[in-house]
Amino acid sequence: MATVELQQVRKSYDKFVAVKDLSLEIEQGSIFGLLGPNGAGKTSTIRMMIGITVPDSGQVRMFGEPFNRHHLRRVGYLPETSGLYKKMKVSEQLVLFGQLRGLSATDAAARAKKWCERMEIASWMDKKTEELSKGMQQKMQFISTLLHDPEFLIMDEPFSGLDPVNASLLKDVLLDLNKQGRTILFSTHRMDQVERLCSSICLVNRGEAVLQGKLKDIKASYGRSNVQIEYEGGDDFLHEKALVQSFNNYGNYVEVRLAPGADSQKLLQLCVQRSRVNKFELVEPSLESIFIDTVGKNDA
Amino acid sequence: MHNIFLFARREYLETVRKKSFIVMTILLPTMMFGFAVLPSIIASKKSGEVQHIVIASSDAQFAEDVRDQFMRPEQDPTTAKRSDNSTRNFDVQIDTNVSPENEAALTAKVDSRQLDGYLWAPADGLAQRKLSYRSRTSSDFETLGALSGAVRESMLREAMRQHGANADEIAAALRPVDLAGRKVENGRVSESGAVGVFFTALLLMIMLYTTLIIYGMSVMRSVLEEKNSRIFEVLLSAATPKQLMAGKILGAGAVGLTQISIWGLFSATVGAGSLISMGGMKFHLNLTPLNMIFFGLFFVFGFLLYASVGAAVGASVNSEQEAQQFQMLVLMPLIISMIFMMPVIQQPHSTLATVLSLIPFCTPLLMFIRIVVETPPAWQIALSLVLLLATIYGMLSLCSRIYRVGILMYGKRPTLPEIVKWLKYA
Repeated sequence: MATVELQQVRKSYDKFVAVKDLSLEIEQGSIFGLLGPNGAGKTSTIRMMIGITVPDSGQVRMFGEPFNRHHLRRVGYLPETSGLYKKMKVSEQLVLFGQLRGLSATDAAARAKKWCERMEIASWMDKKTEELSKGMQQKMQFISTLLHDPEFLIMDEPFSGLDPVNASLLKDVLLDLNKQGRTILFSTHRMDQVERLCSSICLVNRGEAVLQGKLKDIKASYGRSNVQIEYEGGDDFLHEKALVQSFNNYGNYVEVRLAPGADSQKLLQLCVQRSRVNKFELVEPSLESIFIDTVGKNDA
Repeated sequence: MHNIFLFARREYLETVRKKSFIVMTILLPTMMFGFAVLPSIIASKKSGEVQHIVIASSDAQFAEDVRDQFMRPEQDPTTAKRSDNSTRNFDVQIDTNVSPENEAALTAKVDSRQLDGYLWAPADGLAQRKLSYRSRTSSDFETLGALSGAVRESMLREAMRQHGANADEIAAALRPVDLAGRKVENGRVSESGAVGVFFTALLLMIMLYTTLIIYGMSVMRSVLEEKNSRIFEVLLSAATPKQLMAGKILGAGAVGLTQISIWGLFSATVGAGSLISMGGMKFHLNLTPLNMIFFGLFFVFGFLLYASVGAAVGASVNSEQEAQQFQMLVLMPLIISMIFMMPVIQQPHSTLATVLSLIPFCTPLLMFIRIVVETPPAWQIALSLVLLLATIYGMLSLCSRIYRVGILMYGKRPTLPEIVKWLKYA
């Protein structure tokens, strides 16, 4: 069963169409990546998904039914820009968020305490929210979305502003929740995270889905059509149009997308002529190169 | 409902716990009391200096009469009790020489500060009833007023004496009269005096005006603050915009009512607010329970009206500066009400007062003030309340639509046509 299903959903503000007839399906128990460059319509899509705005046309289905506000008790939403009452005490604020999701005050307080311990901010519970660092506020916001034990979690750029240690703490919690059967939606433009976590993706650009499906299938469909090259010396070979469709220079290495039908061996020969090659590996394209490829092609 | 309660309680507790709430609760009545009482306290302080005055008149009897009258403690016109109102010490001399030379000499003395002033009453002046008091400060109305009263009474005495009245008869005829203004209320003559009613109206209106502005605009400011802290995105995944706005308005309104109740209880127990002395006059404030009930009622209605507009404005703008520009526009009806306060208090049943008090945005202040001064016909009160409630309902639904879109809109300040478009969004 699909946790969320968008059918031909459309939203426009004035003349600007933020989301153009987007359809997608998030399977129960999956980790789904909603990807796209800034301003692609990710946040607009999420807002319609949870009823903050209503689509101009199309339908939103949640937990197998047409969307209804009572579904929200089973959803946790972490928006991209964290928003908290600054003057409220951490503990009071978490209890309020729990109560808004239907918990009793005592239940909410107990759960808040448990989560604060797990997220390592228990000693800050009596402080005012504005006294917390940005990272701690992010963790607090994260806790506020989990208090009511939602079945479906929407995480909009959850790792922004977190150091690697805290990011990994957050990631572990999410993976743990996923193992317990929770469905998770990541909205991000950070491809490396999605690649490691998500099982399915939907890539949106200018309000339209340009690529979607299981990550494995998508990558397979591209085949081992990319080459990672570590080299020292000239890079003329990168501009050989017959062999190279596009490339992405990461500094330490360059990832080359071969032109259709091009032979990788020919590229290797070309490389060796001009520079010293330390590594030459045929790989599946990284999500990032697929992203840049797809979005770039779309914009052209 | 549960969510509205949660938001209202949050708003209420956060505001009441703020220092500014406690400061306001104490400061505002202190300031009002200070403005009403301090000047009269300062004015009644005897300034140890003695003022030297000369009464120059060809008629020695007249001059003595004037001096006696002038030096006698005045009678309080409102209470008819003798009050020690001689705020300054006077030394009054009599000079029967009214030659032009003496006039010049007296003028020179005033100029050289040996004298503070002199009453010039030569024989022809008395006959034409045209006298003058000459001093360096022509704005000393208190002295001038006292002198003029003394002169009038002395002239009366003189006239009576000439008609053969004896001293007792004169004293009996000139005994002061206590003319007190009394308000007719519900067919009965009430104890409250006209001056008391006037100052009660003034005081209550300023209180209502101040609290409406403070609490109406506090809603605007806190909506804006929440918008800038980007909290709405989170809250909207758990609650509807209507619940948020209702909670905010109810919470802020409850804070306002709490503050008013504290003031009400304080003035009821201490009774400090009920007796005000101003410029030497003492009078009772007309703080009847009915007035206080209407105060609360019109605060609630006025607050709902202005807070809903404030919430819409706070949601539409992005910064304090932008909010300030709108704020003036929003508060305009309140300011206009204040401008028309005096004509309405003086003629509460004039066409102007009736029409203005029926305009919903002015009703909270002007209909209230009419009720305090002179209860208007019941149908007018009823009509104004119906119009006001209908407007509140209309503004709430209109403003909640603006609010709903505005809280998620960031960036440039929306233009009016854009806000109109928001109303149509699903």
